Amino acid sequence: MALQIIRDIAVFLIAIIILVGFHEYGHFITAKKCGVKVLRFSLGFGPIFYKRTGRDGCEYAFSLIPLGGYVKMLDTREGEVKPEELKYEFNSQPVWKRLAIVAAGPLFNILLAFFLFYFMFLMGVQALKPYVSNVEEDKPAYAAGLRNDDLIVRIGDTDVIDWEDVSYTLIQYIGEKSVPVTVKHADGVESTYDLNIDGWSVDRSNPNFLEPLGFMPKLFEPTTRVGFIVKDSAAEKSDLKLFDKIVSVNGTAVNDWYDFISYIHKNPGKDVTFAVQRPIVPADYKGSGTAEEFDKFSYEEKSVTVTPVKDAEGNYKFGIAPFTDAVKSRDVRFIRSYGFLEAIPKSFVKMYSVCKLTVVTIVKFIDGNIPVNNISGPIAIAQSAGMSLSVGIAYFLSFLGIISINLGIMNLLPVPVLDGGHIMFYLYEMITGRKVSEQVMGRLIFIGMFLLLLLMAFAIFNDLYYN
Amino acid sequence: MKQRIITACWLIPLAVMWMFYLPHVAFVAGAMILVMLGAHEWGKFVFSKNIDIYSLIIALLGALSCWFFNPFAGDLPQTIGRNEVAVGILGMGVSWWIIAVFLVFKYPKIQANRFLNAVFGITTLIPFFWSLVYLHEAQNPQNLLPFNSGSFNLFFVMLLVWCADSGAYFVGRAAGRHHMIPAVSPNKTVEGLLGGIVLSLSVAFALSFFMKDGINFVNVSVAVVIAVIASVLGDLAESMFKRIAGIKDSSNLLPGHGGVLDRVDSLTAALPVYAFIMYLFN
Repeated sequence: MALQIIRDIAVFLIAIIILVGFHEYGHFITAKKCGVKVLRFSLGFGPIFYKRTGRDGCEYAFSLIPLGGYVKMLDTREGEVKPEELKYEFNSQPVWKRLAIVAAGPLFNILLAFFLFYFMFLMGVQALKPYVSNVEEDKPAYAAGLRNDDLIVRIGDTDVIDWEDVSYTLIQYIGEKSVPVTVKHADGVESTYDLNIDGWSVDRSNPNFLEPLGFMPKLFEPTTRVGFIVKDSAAEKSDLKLFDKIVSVNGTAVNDWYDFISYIHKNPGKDVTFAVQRPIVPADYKGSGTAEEFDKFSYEEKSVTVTPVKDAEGNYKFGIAPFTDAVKSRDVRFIRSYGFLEAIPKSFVKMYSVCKLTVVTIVKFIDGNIPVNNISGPIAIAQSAGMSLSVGIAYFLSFLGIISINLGIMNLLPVPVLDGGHIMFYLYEMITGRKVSEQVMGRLIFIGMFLLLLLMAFAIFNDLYYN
Repeated sequence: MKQRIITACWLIPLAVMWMFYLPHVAFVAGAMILVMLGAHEWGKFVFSKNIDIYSLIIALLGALSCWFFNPFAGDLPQTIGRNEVAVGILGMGVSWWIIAVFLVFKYPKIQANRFLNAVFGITTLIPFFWSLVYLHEAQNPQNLLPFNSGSFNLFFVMLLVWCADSGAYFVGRAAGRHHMIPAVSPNKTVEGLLGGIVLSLSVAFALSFFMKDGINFVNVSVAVVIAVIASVLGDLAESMFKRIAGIKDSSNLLPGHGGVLDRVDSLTAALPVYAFIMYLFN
């Protein structure tokens, strides 16, 4: 526990130094390029414990409190400026230069995320092999000839390695009548089918956009055993028990889970009598509870009738999910690493989608769809950081990238005191040609500061409260 | 400015913890401490030196109203006469603020004597204390908030007051022509007051928007406008008492912000008035 806390704190500080360092470096390098004199570039804030003056006259420093950092530029508002140095001073620069300097920090954070994701893709990320599951008999995939557990190897002329490839390739065929899909069956034989996609398109509201075609990615290997019973469901109210192995339903033999699914698809709303084998688990059993071990237990034959319940969408539900075969499920997933060139568009897409997700989340938070107690603060972040590192470097890179984008976008919010607030002042200046008066700016910054502190207090107390 | 921010850095988390994360009993204890600090400062207005017997009297009266009100009762059945005492104490606050309008406008021609000023401390602070307790414990489904919780109830009024303050500042700066009461506060303008009301109303409506059930926009508007006007009155009254006593800040307890009373002056009027209106609407 104590070790874990030390790990979390250490990882958190490393993350902060990387993220804030890069952010400030964005301000720093742009300021220099714009000809503004930088007095100090500090990692951390508060009292300085180490500093060196560079050849450019700038002080490079480490400060005591490693929770941030700053770039101090020559500025008439913050101290006396010698007359000969006036042209290197920040406040009298043309407004576009000031805008560039302020905007560079958040943009560098987003750029940093791109590089972090790039390294992540080079190292490899978890991917799903394109095994087909949930093939529905009345939909195009079944009609074409696709069956459960087929492995998709090619779509048109494109070889596919994981499910993401399948999605991207299929989407490119939208608008055509059909697309040739080559699959490898369980026995190793390959066949090519014409999948009818006439009229199919991607519905944004439905994440399972393959559903209209009648097949889905296989996420795990189901067994015919009951692995989960939903609370207050039809199954829970019946005599069906967890770990019962389904042998047949209403006399129809069930050889795999999909036999059961297709039976209830064909007979919606009908009472189902399950013939099950109920394992007799020894009282002193201490095994890992894998599918194989369950098969070894002796069992008693039972017959259980369940009446499905109609849900709000008009579907009949039993409220059971299959027990997964952990060993075989592992074969479905693999680590996919990308080549140097391949990884570039991947990282770009990932960067874009995280940016979009961040913006959407902020909007949902503002319009009240996400409750206040979901805000988490530095403690939750530290814990996640430590946890992600313990899973693997690639996860840590991904986590760091996401936080970096969060930092960048949050900083672009039009709240005075944040970079976005300054950008707002400069935009005002560009439009009206007048600077925002210092008094008004001071007051606005205090309000922004106040709101920020309020949010931070909530975040930290939430962390403490919900832990 | 720097001092102001440093103080805010510890004051805000403290206030958030007090309002949102403490159980009601601890909240009441905190409110009592706040009011006693306020009373300590009021003692200086009235007697020009620290007289803590005065804060003791306030504390005793606060405790007494606790005894009547039993804020610790929580979900227990309501004490008999509880609502009557509630409306009594809040009503006392409202009546005092009506008198305060008269005093503020007539300053410096008409000034109350020392004894009355001491009484005004009680009529300011006890209803203030009780409105804190009342709003914090309220679980009215009919309140103006998207959240069915007393903490947010309280936060809502505070937010209104800050909005009114900021709105008044910016509008007053940009378009302020007509001074309200230059003898008491040279910076307050009628235009600023209107700006504050507009901003508070907008924020209140924006928040009401999130409510699932329909809300009564007339009720919201009435409560918000009166609470905002009361907040300005609270501010003016404190300025007046400080002028009478010849001091600038009520104390230096909160470096960069002045004293406790300086920070809560608008709330001492806005909260009891708002709570009273809520009581009437329910």
